[in-house]
Amino acid sequence: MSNSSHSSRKEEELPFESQSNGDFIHSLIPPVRTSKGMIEDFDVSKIIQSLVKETGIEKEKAAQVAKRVVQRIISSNIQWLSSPMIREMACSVLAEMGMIEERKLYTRIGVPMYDLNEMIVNPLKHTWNANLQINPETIAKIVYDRVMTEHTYLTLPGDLEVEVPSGKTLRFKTNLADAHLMGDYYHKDREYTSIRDYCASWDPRLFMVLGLEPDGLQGAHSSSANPAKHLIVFTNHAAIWLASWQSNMAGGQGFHNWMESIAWYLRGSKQEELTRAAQSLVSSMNPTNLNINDALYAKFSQVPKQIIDSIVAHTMKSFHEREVEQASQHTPFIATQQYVARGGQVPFTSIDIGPGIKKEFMNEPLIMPGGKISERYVYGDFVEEIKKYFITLMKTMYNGDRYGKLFNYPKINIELREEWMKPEFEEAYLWAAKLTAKYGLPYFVNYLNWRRTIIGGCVSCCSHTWAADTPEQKEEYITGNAVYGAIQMDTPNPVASAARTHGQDESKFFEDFTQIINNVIIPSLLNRYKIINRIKKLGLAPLYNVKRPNGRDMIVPEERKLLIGTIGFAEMTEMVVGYPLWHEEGLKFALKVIKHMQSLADEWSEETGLSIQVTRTPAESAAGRLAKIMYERYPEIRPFLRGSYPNVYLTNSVHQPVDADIPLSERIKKEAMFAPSLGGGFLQHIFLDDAYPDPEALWKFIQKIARNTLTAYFDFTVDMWNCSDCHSQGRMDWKQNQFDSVEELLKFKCPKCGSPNAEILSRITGYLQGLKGTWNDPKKQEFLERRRYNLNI
Amino acid sequence: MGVKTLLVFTQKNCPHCPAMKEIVFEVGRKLSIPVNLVDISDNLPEQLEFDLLQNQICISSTPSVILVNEDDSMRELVLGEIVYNEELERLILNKE
Repeated sequence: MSNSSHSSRKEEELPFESQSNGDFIHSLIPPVRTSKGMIEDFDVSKIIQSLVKETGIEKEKAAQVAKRVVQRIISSNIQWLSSPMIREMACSVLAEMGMIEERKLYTRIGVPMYDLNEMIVNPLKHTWNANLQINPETIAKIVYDRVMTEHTYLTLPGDLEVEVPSGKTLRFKTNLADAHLMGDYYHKDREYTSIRDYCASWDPRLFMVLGLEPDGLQGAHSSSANPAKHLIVFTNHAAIWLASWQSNMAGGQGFHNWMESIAWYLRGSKQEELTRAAQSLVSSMNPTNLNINDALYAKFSQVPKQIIDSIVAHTMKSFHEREVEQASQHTPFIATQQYVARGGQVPFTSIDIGPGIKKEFMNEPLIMPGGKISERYVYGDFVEEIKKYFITLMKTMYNGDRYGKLFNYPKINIELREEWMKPEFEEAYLWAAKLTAKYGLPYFVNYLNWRRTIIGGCVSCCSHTWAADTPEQKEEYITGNAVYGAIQMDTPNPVASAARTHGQDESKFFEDFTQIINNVIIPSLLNRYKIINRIKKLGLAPLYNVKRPNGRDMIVPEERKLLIGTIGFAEMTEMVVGYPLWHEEGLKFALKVIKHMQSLADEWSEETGLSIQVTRTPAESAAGRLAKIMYERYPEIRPFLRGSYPNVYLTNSVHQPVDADIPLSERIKKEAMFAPSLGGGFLQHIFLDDAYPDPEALWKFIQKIARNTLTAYFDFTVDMWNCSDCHSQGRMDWKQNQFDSVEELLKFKCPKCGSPNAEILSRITGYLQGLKGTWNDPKKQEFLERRRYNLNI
Repeated sequence: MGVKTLLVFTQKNCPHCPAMKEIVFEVGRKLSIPVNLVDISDNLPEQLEFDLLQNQICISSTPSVILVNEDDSMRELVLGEIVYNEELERLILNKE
């Protein structure tokens, strides 16, 4: 090998730096195809210089590496050479010389030619992201994801030093990349680790006051729009706001206080406004309107002015109602038709809505476009208009698109609040129940139980719930300045700890699991905190530094959450205590684990001055990935994994296993017992069978769940199908459709026309997506094993 | 079903807790129901915490009052607020 004395002597004899020997070298080494798209003569000094620059090694050491590279080129008689080839050789030499860290820094990250060709013709086979669709931008994202994920593995720190808001400088010695690769934890959104924040919930009054400059550079690249004055412009701005933020973040983008924000735009429905506008119209000095004035009074000279005003007001009301209807229709279409973000995906959007105005806002003066405070109205003046708008939106969602297909975005988070549990809001909530019965679309955010004291509550992404905790945050929530969200979610794998300590005392499990949280999860989260600070400082995401109306930056890293995710509690429990999660002993153990996680999160929050919380992990990819690694790494625990190889999976979060043979009420209650400990949010699923529940009874059932359980956030999943050939859609008929394997699922055909282009739509984790085209195989396996309930209502 | 006990959950620096405690003791005496105090500033006993959760109760704020039936099932009466004697009595007796 190259360490032999013979090769060392030969290297020393080679004439590397002598200019006079250039011709000799060129006669032995072919010209180089460079990365800059040129063909140039070979120049060994470029290898030396780049090694010094990129890896920081001494020039002498770099020369030794370069000598070996030249030696290989000459001895192998290579006739075609490119700079990537030379770099590969240099990396190989670095590894052989024991310079592993230097090799990481010097390596070229890319995609094998074969894989790239495959990605171009079959992109969705190369991703587990169920939200991606086929289009050219998607291919770009998949290539990007591959490269940037590899970059993350190479750059996740071994030694981390981070300054935290508590004033301390914390140091960790760890190996985050290997911990992820070994399945000890799941580092979410690895492709975005170095460049983006995670998720956010916004108040629409931010753009209602500031106007819209999606570039974050005061309109230097984009045009700059004034605050919206009309409802349809408001909804357009809303969609553009979320899309532009989606380009700056990895996870979901949502709106809270949607109803309060939209209230001003609904004033046209108010009788007093209509009358005022009508009077203003007919008496305006505008020459165009003078014609109306002249025409109306000339033609109906015998009719009193008030009656003419009233007729004009009535006409304007009709126009306004039509405008509201159009804006409601516009919202879901624009949310599901903009293939603009994160590589040709539609933005992952949600809006939090209710059928009225929240009690905290009832007596607050209304904020108008541009930020002026209304002297005429408080938010509470708009309860009726909001209710009508809510119903119109529900009807739009109920009718679906042109073919009657459901809208999977924006995710509709319907808030259940005490102030709306009154007969006058019944019709509105019934429409929500109708929509649920038909498509299972809405999510219900519960403020009727222990969560009724929460102020500033909102939700985002597939799981996360937020609240205003301090008086300052409450002030921001009321005044339209609140921005919620998290920088990162990292999920420790308790199944790995259970596997390592299988058969040992429970305390050993806790020791192992604590190590993962303290030595892997916390540094991983803090590394992301450090990165987001760097992004802000360098101005790499200009939107982050845009000022809110109250003068604070849109993104303040110190106030954003760091989330510790949860996964595989069902499997962990069976392995450690030998009982299923629905058994009292299993539940007690799992609750002990979640409490332990919560107390570690509290300790680290105290230590860092940051807010660290425990949450549900959406886990559409993590469930399969971690299970597969566990299957390979710990053969003895294979019987505890769900599914069957290769489609093994872990149960999401602290959920009961999807196939657990337990009554629905027990499932809901036993899962809900974890909700108070999951401060970062916990979404519960109820999978329905093919029976169509009566909406009135369903609404009663929803209230029962909300009032009588600890649940924070829940949804009903209805499995649908739709056919892109005949444009039919319907509920999956589980009596007619039996699937024994993932492969069989792919053969599903349209029940109406028999086309193989029929798709099954269901909830992969929080969101609804086509199963055949985009779900990964372990999730498809989980879909097959789900126990679906008949509500018998 | 008979009532076994009333649990009053309090914590340090809780402004309404002392008054609520007094009210619960008065009502308890009147209805001959024993009253137990639980300070949530300390860690709750594991079994009590589990029983609360199993009964779908979360003590998210104080003062809170929980009724324990003879069969050990629990019912939330007050959560994070103060209610007066008559109201508490009505809640205990489950009267509309």
